[in-house]
Amino acid sequence: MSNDFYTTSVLPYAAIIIKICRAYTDTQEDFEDYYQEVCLQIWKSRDNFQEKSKWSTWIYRLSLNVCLTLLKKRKNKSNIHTDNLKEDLIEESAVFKSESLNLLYDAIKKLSELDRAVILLYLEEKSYQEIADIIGTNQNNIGVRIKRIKERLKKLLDGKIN
Amino acid sequence: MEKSIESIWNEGFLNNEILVAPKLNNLYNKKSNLLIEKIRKTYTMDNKSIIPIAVLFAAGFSYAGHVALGLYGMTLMIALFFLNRTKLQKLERIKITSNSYQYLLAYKNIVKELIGFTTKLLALGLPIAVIPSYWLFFRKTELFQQLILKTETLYLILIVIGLTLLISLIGVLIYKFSTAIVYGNLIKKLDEIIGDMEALRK
Repeated sequence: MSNDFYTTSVLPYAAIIIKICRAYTDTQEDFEDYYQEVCLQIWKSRDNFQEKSKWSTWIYRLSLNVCLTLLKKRKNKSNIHTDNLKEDLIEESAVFKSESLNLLYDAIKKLSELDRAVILLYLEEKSYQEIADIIGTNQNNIGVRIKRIKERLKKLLDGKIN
Repeated sequence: MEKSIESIWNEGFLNNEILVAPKLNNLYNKKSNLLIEKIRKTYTMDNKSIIPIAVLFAAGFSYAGHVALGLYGMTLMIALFFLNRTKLQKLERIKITSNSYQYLLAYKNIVKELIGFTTKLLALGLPIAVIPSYWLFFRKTELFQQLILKTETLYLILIVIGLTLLISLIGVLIYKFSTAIVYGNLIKKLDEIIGDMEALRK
């Protein structure tokens, strides 16, 4: 990847990639792997960008696709016994300075992979149409889905956040 | 819950310092190491599988009354096992360096060398090894004895040459086919990663 490309086309949108990768990873090591993989895929697929949507929308779509693919591959491969890992995971989930944000992320990670994508895009203030385009679904379902997800998150977070 | 998730989200990211991108170091490092490990394990398992086949070969032909043939075949296969093991040690000797690209390139070259070596071994060595086994198998049969008595020497030589070429061809084709099935995907992934790295280096 050329330095120029990374600096001009990836780095300005790093926040998007970080927010998405954090929702699909539990450890710093995994997060860095996912982040790198997304950046590489952006580089490799850059010629496929057709300018029908904004570059940022394309980054969202690519980041989600990569994270979902990597997660699926990991699930297919591993039968890791997580008993010993649990302690590390609890420590690692305190990624952000804001405790509320960390708790929110922990709750988001309890959702299904697709629900995570939907709620992330919603929180990033994407319109229902944009969310539907990025996820590849019907716009009609998005509103109901978001409502359901928010209710679930509220239940998960109730009592934990003042 | 007093705060909405929307406000938690927006307030949580107000401080942009928490959104610092990780450095892109050692791209493909983990991927390369995993792939190399997989190739190495596959080669080792593949080679080890020769031993039970050799034992079955010896047992099977001995049971059928061809003890000499059984032992001959087993000896050849065990010799192949040790020969492969010596070659595989070359793969073990490649040290993982901080430069994944050089490491993968070195590995790819040795894998190619191994495949090339085995192909030549089969093409040249297989007929030489197999023809005596035909003699061991057929020598007591009436058909073989009639063939030796009735066929002119020149035709016998042509038959032997033809058989040699045929065995060589079949051996190489079977090897190429089995290599494609067992290693095809792994070698393809290796080529892809190297290709990606070369593109990134440009």
